[in-house]
Amino acid sequence: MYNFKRQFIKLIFIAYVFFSCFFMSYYKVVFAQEEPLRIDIMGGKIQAMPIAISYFTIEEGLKELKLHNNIPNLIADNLVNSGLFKLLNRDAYMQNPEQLISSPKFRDWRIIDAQALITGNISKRADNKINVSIKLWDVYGEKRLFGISLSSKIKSWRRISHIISDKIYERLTGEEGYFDTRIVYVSESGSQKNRKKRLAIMDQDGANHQYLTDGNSLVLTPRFSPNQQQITFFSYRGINRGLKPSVYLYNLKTGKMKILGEFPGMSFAPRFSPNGSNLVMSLSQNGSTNIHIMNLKDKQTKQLTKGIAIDTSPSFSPDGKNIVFNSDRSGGQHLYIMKENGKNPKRISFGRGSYATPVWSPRGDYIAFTKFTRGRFFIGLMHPDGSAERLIAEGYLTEGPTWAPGGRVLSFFRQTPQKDGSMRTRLFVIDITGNRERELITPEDASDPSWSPKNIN
Amino acid sequence: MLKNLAKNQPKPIKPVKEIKNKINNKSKKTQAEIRKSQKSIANNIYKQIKANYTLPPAPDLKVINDITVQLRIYVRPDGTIIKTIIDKGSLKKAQNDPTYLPYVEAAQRAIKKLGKFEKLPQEEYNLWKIVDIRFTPYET
Repeated sequence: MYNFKRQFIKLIFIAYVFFSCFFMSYYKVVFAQEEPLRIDIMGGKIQAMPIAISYFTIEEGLKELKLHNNIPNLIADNLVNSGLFKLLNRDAYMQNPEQLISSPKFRDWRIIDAQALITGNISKRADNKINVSIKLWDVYGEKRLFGISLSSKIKSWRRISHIISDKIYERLTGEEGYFDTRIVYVSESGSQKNRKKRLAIMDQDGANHQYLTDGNSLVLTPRFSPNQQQITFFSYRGINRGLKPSVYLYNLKTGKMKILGEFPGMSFAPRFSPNGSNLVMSLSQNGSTNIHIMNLKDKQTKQLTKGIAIDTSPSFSPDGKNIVFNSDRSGGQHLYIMKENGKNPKRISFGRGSYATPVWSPRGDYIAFTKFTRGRFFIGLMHPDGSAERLIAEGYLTEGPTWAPGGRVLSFFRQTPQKDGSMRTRLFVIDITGNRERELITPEDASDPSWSPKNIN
Repeated sequence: MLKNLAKNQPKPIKPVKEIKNKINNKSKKTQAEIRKSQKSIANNIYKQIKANYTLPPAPDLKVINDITVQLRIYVRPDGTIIKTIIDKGSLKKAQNDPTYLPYVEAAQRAIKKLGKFEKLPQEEYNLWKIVDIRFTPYET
């Protein structure tokens, strides 16, 4: 009986081993072929993303203001001007704004190859403000990507549109938007001999343009403070009262301006530190020009560079730990980086030609600069270690790069000789690839732009 | 009469048998032949996906980064893509990095836009019923 049991168990064991082996080999032969097929897709088409922006629905009482058309149009302008989006012709839309109040019929939007769809509604609140609600839809994913509702006074509809544009841009690109921003620049008018230079400010799309100074004294190099409330600039303003040309501060809220300390020499090329508490600038005295830093609270200054060279155009890294500047200490004019306390200066540009007006990008990954070589001016980019230098714009006189928030778009100015011998000076916008250059429309000639940080108010 | 007719008609092949037949056909192929088929199918699928793959807006900044997005798709015998699953690593990265998310969405959009593969060999369905795709937006 005992033997029979042992034999039986043995038999079961042999059968188990046999079937296991059989199954394993069968699995290997048959199912191994059902392993996923692996495919590598390298590269993809680069093209502007086709988007549909429907007109918005609006409450009856608000219709005559045409905000239901103006707001989506301004959003479209912003996105299209970025060069990254293509607005699909509204005549091709198969659903009207009323039909889009609930969920869109995605199939209808796929027919025209809309990859994203923006719908919206405007209503009036009891306090006379308007409420703008928008939804961003992923047409192929058949889902809502996000929705946002903003309220404000009717007159602020442009600002609302810019904020919405930023949100859409940020969701679709993953990068910081730059539409709710302003640009301060030097507006120029009159003949070359009798040039009038005024500070002017406008929205990044050229709207809400206004002059900040009267043009009686020359102004140069305006720069925004990180909180958007102040502008620092260089001016000959007090020269009639015996003051040297100096650095000034302009308060945008109060409209008041003040000189920033009295120095033995001339102060110029100012720029705020990232936290807004300090200002770096150049001070020229006894034939040498060095970089100084000033604490804006106690007005104490500290010299950061020393020597007989001309050190100028300082610009902080976004973390405030380093400063890039240009200097002729090695003979030619080149770019250098030093610690915020002035220590460890290190040359980063080694190409042929002169380098000037370096500006650290808000992301910290690039330094934009002006380069003069072979009789032409260029706007260029390089990494902070000096690598990967490339030129993205050129011209007879092309100068003064400034970064938009997000660090993928820059503005600069370009002077072009005209047939009648005069010069035309205009602001331009370009992205870091050197593509999508376009002129920023200004009422008069324009130079020295400074792009504001994102509006925080 | 009807009974006789029914008897003479060949019995419909059950799905299990169908699979077995396919398996038998497959197992007759050499590994080299299988690899050749895989290569040809992969090339066909590559072309169809690539034709629908557009990079997300604002690509330029990430050229320096090593971006890849991985998806697994399940395909019906008629070529229809029935399911797309984002690889765990890609999904986690997309949840934490808003600059990476558009790349995942662009990859998904390419698959959705394609919808169905054309001209894939039915008899070699086993080779393409599951496809792992790795998107590398920027060739370095």
